[in-house]
Amino acid sequence: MAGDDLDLVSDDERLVLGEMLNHVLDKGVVISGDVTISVAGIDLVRAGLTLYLTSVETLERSSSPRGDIPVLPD
Amino acid sequence: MAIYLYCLTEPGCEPLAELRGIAGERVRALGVTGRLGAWVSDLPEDPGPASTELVRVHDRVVRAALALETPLPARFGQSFESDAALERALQGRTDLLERSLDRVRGSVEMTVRILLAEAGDALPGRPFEGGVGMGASVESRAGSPAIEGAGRAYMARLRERQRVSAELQRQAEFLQARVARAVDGFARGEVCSPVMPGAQSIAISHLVAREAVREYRLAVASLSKGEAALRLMVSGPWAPYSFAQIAGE
Repeated sequence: MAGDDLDLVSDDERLVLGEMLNHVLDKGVVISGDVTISVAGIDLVRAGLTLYLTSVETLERSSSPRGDIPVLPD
Repeated sequence: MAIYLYCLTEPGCEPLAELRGIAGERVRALGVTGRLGAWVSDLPEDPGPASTELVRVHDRVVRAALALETPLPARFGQSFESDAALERALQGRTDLLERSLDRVRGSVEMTVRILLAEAGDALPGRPFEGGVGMGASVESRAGSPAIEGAGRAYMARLRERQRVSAELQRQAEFLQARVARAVDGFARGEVCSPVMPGAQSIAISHLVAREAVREYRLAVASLSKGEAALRLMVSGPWAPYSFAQIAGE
């Protein structure tokens, strides 16, 4: 199932992964009008969003001082 | 042979020979029109359900294109029966796509994610589950005090839900305006994610000139200086996923 391997990554990686999922799965040009993304893919979007928010909450609890801006790697 | 689509490019934008895509297939450039190309790879078999690994592969290929010039990234998961089928699908839309490519040329997408304040937490958790109030039960009769109390509780929850949604929307619009002012001069375009009920964050994506990425980051960083409550995260550069929509989608 989508997201099975997500426990293996660190918080920063999760942030990157969450943003990547949001971009790649939910945006971009649609040519066919018949996107061959499976139901599992939709689950993946949700998993990504949940993961992202969980990571943000983790970040909030961490020692990162307020006002810090984690800049995701290029 | 079926093919998988990664992005649309200007013609002549060629992937490196060793670039591999879904199922380990070689990524190749396909000329569509005189002004439009596409990066695709053969899809010899069903790659199975979406997975993080497949999404990573898609993004890796699009990033390889972005390293050369700015493509129009395709949404994940689009395959076609053949090269000719993709060309047919593009017919009639090439003008729009070429204009979209013109718009993003020399730019990348940067995304600011802002945590919203606690309003979302005040949302009633499951307002439509488990009855509509402490006094509700299957034995209650219509018109009884228990039912009337339950009705009032239901309406109160509904009003609270609407209030919280409106508060989130106001908060999002306020933050969006602040960010817009901070990046004015750097952003060539802006797309803001819709604010869903219970949202904990909003994402605002900007189209930014490649050479202005550093200044953009500094401008966004300046927003939170001395503001403990404002939590921001910047990601990018991305291929312009948020600016690759075309009319009719």
